[in-house]
Amino acid sequence: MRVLLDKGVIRRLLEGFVRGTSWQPLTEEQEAVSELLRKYYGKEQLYISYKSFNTLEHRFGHREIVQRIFSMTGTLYPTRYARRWARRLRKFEFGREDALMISMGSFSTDKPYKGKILGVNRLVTLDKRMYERFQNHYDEISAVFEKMVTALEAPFSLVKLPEIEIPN
Amino acid sequence: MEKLQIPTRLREDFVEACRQLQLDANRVLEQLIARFVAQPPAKPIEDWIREIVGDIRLSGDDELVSGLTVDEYFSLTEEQRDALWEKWENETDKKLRNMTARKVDMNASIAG
Repeated sequence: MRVLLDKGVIRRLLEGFVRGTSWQPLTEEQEAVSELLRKYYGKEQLYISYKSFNTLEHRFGHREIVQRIFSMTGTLYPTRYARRWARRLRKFEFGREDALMISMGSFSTDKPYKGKILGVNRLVTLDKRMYERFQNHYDEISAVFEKMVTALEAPFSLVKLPEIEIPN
Repeated sequence: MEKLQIPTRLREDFVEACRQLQLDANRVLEQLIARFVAQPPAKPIEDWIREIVGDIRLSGDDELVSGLTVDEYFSLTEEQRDALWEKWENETDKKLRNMTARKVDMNASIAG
């Protein structure tokens, strides 16, 4: 199974790691995402988006901590149709960033050129609004999605919607 | 179930031996547990994190992110940290607005 972690999850993971280096207690959210990482690490394929990768790469002064995250995750890049699907998702009142993350759940790959994978099974987020909106409108979203992908060429015609998970 | 206690020295030697063999100690341990223990005992999440971060030690004065030390970063509220990450991602977005992977292998593995 492939799992994409959104920026809020990455942020709490990184904060949890930093607190772990100085034996500080974790907040509830840091603990929840760390438990989730422990559940998946070594069993499932974990990914972060190219934006999270760039933020960690260029903003974090402490390389060793960031390297821990990079060693546990791969990076995903949006493919053709990612932005088209994100635009359609915005009609369900998702924010621009949320729409792109959900879209990357289906239209993303592991390399900037000739990627070997397409999409993930699960998107993990701490954003309850995004989660609830996705669940509440799932049938409509799914119908629009199916209509769009059946008109695409392979392999894009075979992609699926991801599940969305909130750590608890 | 009885909690599994591993002496610190043994754990450190194990991690070092794995490192020399270029193996991930956590993966090796998981495989050993899966092989020899029916149900691995859960340990506190803080212990698991400390295994992941290994010997990295950060003090409050160390720089964590651009322009902010560890103490300064953690003195920000949740909302301020959210805003900071949002700002960084927006800046990345401006740089990589049109970033799109070119071509996907026809035989790509599709999730689902």
